[in-house]
Amino acid sequence: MWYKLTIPLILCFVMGLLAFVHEFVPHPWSAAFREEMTTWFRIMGGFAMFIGLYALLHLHVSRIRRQQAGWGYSAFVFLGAVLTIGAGVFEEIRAAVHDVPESAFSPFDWLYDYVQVPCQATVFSILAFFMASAAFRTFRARNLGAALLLISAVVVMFGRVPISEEVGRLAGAWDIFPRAADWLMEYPNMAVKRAIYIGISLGAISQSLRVLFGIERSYLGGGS
Amino acid sequence: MTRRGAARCTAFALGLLLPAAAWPAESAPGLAPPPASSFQAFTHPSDDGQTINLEWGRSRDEASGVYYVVEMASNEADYKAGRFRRVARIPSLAKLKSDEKRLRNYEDEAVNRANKQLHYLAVEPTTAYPDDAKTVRERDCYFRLAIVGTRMTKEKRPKAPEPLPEKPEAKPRMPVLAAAEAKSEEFLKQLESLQGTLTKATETKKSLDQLKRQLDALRQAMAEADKSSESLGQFPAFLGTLARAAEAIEREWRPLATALYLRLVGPIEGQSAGVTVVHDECLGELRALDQALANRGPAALRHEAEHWREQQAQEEAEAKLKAETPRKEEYEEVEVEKDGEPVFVSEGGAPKVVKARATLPPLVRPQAEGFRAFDLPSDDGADIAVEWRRTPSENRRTAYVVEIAEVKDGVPGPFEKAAEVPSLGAEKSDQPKFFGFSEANKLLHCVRVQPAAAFPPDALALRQRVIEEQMAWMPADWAPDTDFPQRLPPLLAALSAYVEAAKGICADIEALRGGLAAKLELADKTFLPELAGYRAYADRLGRFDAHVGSRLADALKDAKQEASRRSYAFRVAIRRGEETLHIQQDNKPKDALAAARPNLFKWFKLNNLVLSLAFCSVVYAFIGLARRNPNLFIRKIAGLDAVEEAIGRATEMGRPVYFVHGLGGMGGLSTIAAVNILARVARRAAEYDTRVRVMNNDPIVQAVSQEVVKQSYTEAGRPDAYNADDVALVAPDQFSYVAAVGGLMVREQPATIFLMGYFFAESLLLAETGASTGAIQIAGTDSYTQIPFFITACDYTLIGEEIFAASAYLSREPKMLGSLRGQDVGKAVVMIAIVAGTLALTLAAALGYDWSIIQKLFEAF
Repeated sequence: MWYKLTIPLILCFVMGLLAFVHEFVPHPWSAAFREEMTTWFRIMGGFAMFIGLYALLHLHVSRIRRQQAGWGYSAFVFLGAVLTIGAGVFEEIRAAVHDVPESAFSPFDWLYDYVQVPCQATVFSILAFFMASAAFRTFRARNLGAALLLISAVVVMFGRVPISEEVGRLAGAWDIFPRAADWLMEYPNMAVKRAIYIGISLGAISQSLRVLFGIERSYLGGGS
Repeated sequence: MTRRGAARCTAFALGLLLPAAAWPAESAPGLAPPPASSFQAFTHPSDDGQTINLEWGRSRDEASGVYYVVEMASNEADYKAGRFRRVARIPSLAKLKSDEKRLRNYEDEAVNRANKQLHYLAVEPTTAYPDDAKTVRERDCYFRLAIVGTRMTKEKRPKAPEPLPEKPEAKPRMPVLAAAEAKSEEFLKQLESLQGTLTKATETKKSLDQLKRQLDALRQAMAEADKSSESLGQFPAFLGTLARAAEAIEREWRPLATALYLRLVGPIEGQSAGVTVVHDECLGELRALDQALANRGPAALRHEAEHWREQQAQEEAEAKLKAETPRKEEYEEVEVEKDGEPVFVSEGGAPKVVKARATLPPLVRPQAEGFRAFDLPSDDGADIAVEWRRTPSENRRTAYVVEIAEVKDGVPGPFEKAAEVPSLGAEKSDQPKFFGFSEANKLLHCVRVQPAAAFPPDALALRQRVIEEQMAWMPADWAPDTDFPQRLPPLLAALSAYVEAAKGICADIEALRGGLAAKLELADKTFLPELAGYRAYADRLGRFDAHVGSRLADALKDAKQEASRRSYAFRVAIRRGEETLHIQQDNKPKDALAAARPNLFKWFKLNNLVLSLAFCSVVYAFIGLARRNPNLFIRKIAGLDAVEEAIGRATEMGRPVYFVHGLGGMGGLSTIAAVNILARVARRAAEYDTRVRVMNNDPIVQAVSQEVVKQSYTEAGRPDAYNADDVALVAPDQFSYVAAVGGLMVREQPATIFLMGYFFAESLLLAETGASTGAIQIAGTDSYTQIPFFITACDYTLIGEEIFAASAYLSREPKMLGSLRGQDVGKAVVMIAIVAGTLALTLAAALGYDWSIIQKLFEAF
């Protein structure tokens, strides 16, 4: 049916054009329009959370019911979701029925402060070990490019630690390694970073044009 | 290259090849002072009456380490006796007359070029002779100039004192008795403060009650008058007056009650909470004291407290003694720069002396020509620009004053000061964003004035109006004046009783064992539930206040916009001390009228728009070209060529393909690109009968991915193979997502992993986990900070724009390939512009031309 494709494309084009125009129009109506769209976007995002929650729970409940491989993990997910939702709802009911001081114990906050945050910190801290293992695998001088990568990585890493100043002092200039590291970061690295940025910007504009003019339609999900 | 350019290049090269000329020179008879005829004092219309202007030419021996020294005698007697005082020592390469802003000539550039050959110094006689400040400005002063070289010598100087440590040592904990006493003192002070607040609350309550009584009395009188028909007939005017008085009091009482209630809530709530905290801390100290008494006895505690106090006193005495005792001086040898013999500017065999006096020229009125006010272009209608021409009287002691008045019925009202700017600032050329880079802008001053700031809307009246509007919408229990009058008296009584009971506890600190524990338990906290109830009430008031606040913000914004649209009149004056001169026309102050209007286009972004439209045109042209000639050449992208091979590998190994979206939402371009790639991957996997699992972080992305995968399976002729559970929302939180996906990778051991989208810190965690399972990994992201991690850990990486090219590359549709070519042409233009622009500006700098127009063309605001 034509309207299933045409109306979304028209909406996409009109909204994209208005967002582009907003960058060049200082009129308060433009700012007010953008503010309104942002508010509606947040509202729709809130509704989307319900969809996600339903999908998540449906998936894990069906895995538990069918006792598929790894269903124990699904049980954990389900238990965690039930506990957290329960704690949040319990607190809201308690605050509505009784007058609770701010310093009172909050199970929801406790779950966040003593379960969620330490778990997040634990997973994040694994990054340090992964960086070491990735560096160990990668920094091998197999070819010219890899050798350049190895040399520059060593120079930058060494230039950032205090012992490089002591070594430099023996060579007659205490700041030779830090300056070399800074030079690498400020000149070749900055140049490449900017080049990648320019490429990304142009690619993003091209992609945006394809989406705006309806040339790229995969995101609509309905096929050609 | 021109002859002039060649000469400059040669001079530049010689300057590099002859470093000896740049080294500091010792004083020698060979130092040549500037010509005597060039050394003189002069006056300028911008003089401020406090300084004397001196100028002199340049010496051929100017170099680093060579200085000019100016000496001054403040009267004729000192001059004749040779009693000169050094007032300035300036490097010979500094202080050119062309650097002084107030002496700059904006209409004749030749004058500025000539000033580059002169040095300039402004001498303040009052600074040189502070003891004679009252009269030195009114006398002739005498100046002489010398050039002096320097040499480095070694000298003994007192050693600088050692710096204080960065982190002070932590103070040892007070003994338990002293801590309990200190905490009790603090508690008493808090109680006194709370008592003061409670007293104010009681008095406020009395005012409210009085008003309420008046209102009730009026209502009573009206009700009684209403009963008697005779009274109605005989006193209609009286009834009318009563009704009006009642309405007036009700109008006054309601907002007053609201405002006073809101003001009471904060202090009582805050202070009571503070007192409760200190009370609990005090109780904690007392309990610790009680425990210490049980363990060690009162005598030991008293002894410990006394010993600690003695130690504190001793430390204070030592510190005081250390501060008062003179330190033994230590010396160190340092290198200092010493002046050689000065060589004076001479005339007739003797040092030339110039006589001068600080002058105050008359203040020059700014011209009426060029004075105007207009709507600031390219803005949202909040500003008006006022501009006027420069005057000769500009210096650091004069300022321009801009005045504003509202115009009603064509007549300006009373003028108020809108802005005061230093006369040497606020130039129109300082704002190229709105006014461009024209040279004419250097001749004008320009100030932006916001009429809404000069005439702000009445926030209190607005707030009152908003409160009345909102109260009409609120349910009964939201109104701030329902049960508060009944709740407050018992609360005040409970708080007062608590204060008395708490005082009793502090008085019993000397009687420790036995009664103390019982007295601690007696600490009456019955007011706490009352306070909690009060807190809930305060919460409701707070929510109402926040609701009013958000409505008030909107009302204020509308009021300011409305204020900005009105017409205003502007005047400009120059001020020096008490003297003020307005711009005049026909012997009266000239008014410039203007009104701000919101504009429809930001002209300072015109270059952005032109470049964007040019790029879009190029892309569109190539799309059209690609329709006619579909065989466009696109360079190979290894990561995209490997997609087929990777899916084939998964099919052969009988293991699934993982597609990881990253953390971007559907609004991100890389996520849209990733969804395009997913469509191709899912279609190929469906054809090969390979399972695809899509890991989503965002519900909307999950919904889109499900549709895309379902459609791909349908197009491949395998709708039955599609399993919605394979396109699942894994977790909405960053590290939960990582943990879940990592766990799935380790358990299910996929053969192929696609990491496409926008990633943050989790990129390496996912890539390394995938690498540890032995899967082939293809990554693509536009997050440049994560690209290095993908390059090290993945087999193929799409860097930056390659992810946006993926859909075109994989589909080979002519329209998409055309847009890729257009993108490449855009990149080529940028590269050429960078190289050509860099070369042009380097050449211009070397040849001394001003090609800053190239920079200004690409200026972004």
